[in-house]
Amino acid sequence: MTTQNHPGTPVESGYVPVNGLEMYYEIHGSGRPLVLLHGNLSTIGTSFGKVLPKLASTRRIIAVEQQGHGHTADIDRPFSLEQWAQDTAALLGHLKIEQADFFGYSSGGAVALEIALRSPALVRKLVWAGGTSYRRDGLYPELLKASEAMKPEDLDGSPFQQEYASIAPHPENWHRLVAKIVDLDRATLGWPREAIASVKAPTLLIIGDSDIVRPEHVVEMFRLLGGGVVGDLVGLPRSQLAVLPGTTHMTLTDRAEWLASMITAFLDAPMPETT
Amino acid sequence: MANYVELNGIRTWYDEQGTGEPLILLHPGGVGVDSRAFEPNLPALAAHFHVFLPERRGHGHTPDADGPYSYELMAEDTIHFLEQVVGGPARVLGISDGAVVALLVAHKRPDLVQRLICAAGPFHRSGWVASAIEPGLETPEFLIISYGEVSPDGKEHYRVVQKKLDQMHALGPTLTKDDLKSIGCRTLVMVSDDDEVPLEHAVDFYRAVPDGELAVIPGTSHGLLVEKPDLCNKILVDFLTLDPIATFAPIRRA
Repeated sequence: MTTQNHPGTPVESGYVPVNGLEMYYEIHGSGRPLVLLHGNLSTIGTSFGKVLPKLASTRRIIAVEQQGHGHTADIDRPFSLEQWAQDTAALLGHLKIEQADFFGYSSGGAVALEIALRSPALVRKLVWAGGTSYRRDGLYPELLKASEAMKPEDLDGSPFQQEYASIAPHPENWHRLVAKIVDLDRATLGWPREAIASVKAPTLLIIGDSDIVRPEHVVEMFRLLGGGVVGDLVGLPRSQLAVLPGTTHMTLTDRAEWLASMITAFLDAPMPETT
Repeated sequence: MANYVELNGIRTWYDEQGTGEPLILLHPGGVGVDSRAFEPNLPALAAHFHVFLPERRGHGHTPDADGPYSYELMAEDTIHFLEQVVGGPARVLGISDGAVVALLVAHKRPDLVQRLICAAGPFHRSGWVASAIEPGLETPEFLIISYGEVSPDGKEHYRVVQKKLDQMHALGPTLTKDDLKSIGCRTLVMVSDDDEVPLEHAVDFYRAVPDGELAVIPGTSHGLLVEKPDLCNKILVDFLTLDPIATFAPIRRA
């Protein structure tokens, strides 16, 4: 992280009881709802601090923190993307939000995709930025090795740990959080190609050109979502792909201006007619 | 300020805007396509750079000359432009055919290119979708009109230019991934997500250039610089003016 992340003061924040959790959320801005889902080990601030104020100038942002992350205390339950998708959907139900756009960073994008598959009516459009992939082998092999070998104390002093220390209800649980994330990574299998092809929501896939995912893999994923066709012949695809130059997984969220520009244009465009 | 200069025996038209270090913009190729293609990008680029917009033989205000075209010949003309008009190295941004010309200039004369942007152009002719370079297609009327507006050779000469461009596209470019290893400058490979250059070719291009960066612009086609000028200008200006940002967990550049 190059600078401190300040998402600004929310217009509303609080905790909602869902599935045994007291799940934290913040609301910023007003307009059409956009749900922000952070990455593993991260928080609203560390994932979205720079881009959130820009997005909140034209829409209503609902940002949540998943089980064991940020303000949301852990409970005795393993981490799972499916469970987080259900928690998020339940929280939105509690806030009486029937349909929203979703923007997930890193594994937050996987949660958003899981919501789109389980509750298609809830998801108008979907943006997944960073680590965007549908199979583990879409990631670089050296990254997979490094994440397998990660020890709970390896991230002591990192921006994530510092943020956790300042906002988590039990800062002493940091090592447990890292260990549970390593388990989650091991258990995450991805989705079959048919599942990706079945996503109805128009989807914007974003990676850095030096992200943890191989660009070849995200191009494959884009094609499964109907992209990579000659738009002049068959009509514009409902999905879009962005690659950010000179950008890694960690620095992707620093590209706030580029992200806000492309995400706003994608979300503002009219919904494609259903065929 | 527009001007003419005699280059390689051709009275070459060029425009200049802005102040600062030199930036050469190489327009797309084709009947009726010329430096006007950069209109949505010029204000942002000229705010930072001394921008040069040369028009290649048979394009825009620059007359055609006898003999066939080739990307190599266009690159030679551009090298003369850099030597005679700019007087030294520059940042070079080319789009479509202009990207190929820019790449060939950087390949032949690495001393003349400080930073390179290849937008919506391949390094090898197999990197065009077939429809992009299909010969003998009818030229759309609006492009013929555009050609006639500025060409000193008269509107009807477009047929000659079209034929020569078809021949050029049938033969080049023919660089290999191995050839790209010698591109020494920071290079941005930029395409749209619905381009005449397939995404897979753009990824190959990016991987083969030693100091390459890749940009894919969402929701745009081959006309990306015109279709999303604000986003593209931000990315172009950042690449041209800033050093690479510090990376936390590099893989490709580790």
